Amino acid sequence: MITPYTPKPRSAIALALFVVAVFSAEMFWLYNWHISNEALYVNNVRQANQNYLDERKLTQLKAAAVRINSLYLRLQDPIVPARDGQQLPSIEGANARQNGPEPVVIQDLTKAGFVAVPGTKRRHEASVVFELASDRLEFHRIVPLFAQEENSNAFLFIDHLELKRPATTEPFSVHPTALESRLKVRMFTSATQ
Amino acid sequence: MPAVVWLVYEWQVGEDKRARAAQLANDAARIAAAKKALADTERKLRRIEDLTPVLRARLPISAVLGKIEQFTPRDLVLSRITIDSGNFQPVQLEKSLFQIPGQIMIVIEGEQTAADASKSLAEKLLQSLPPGSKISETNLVEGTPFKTFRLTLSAPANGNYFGLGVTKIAAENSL
Repeated sequence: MITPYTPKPRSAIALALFVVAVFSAEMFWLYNWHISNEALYVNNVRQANQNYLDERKLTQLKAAAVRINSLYLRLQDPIVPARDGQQLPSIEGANARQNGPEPVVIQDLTKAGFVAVPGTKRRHEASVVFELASDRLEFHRIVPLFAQEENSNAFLFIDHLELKRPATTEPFSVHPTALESRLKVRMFTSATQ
Repeated sequence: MPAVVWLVYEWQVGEDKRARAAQLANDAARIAAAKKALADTERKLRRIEDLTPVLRARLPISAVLGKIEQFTPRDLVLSRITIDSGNFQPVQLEKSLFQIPGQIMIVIEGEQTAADASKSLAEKLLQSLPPGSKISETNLVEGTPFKTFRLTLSAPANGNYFGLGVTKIAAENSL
């Protein structure tokens, strides 16, 4: 039996629905907050990993800076500037050793007794080519000379080498023998830096 | 009540994570500034890395000649050494091209008094040349008073030249 003081069922249902709706909205809002916190956590983990990698790379770079600079200088210094109308800007800048019209390696070989003439370079190649010949150098002088030049220029390629004992020298001769030496060398010239 | 607890918990967690994010952002900015100071070194390193294929392809001929000199037995004499590069491959270096050799052919001719002197030279030389090297041809002609020989070896220009006594270009003692 319904008395005049008993709340009406419709009001109770409406109140219940309102409470459920408020509670659901609150849950939804909290859940979204939780999701955004999770996303923030993932971003933080990613950023921390990236920072760790960058920091490690930076530490390695700092530790190797002196060696990198030395190696760079050593590699760049002997690179031959592009010549003969090649439209290639020089990369060496102030570091270049331009003692003359010929590369330092060729100058050294010429001083040692070789005769050098410019060779034909391959098309579209950033290089200079020289053909050299000598009949004045013994084997024990040629080896250290080549070693010195190869050490001084990491881009010196000896594409062809022929060392020949003169026909007039007998095998097992105990006298110093100047060899007939012919070689073709190629050096990298860089276009850009 | 549970919702309030959850609310407080999420708020605390959110604050911690935001504080952590701010700290990480500061670290990132500090690292970026330090990296900027080392930009020139990094550029040089990239340049060196670009040049690596060219450096790897250069088999040092002086080291090969040194090994020939070292391994030549007393009962053998050389009359001719020919070294030729082959199997050229173009390498793109920024805007320029450079042909790098893939293989080196070594031909040694000479005279010997002992029967297996050239064989001994070839075997020792093969051990010093880069892995993958091989003896392509051995030719021995009987004669009086010397036997003449012709030895052909091929070696790949693969960057592994340690057998020739070559050290890495970046090694401290080579700088």
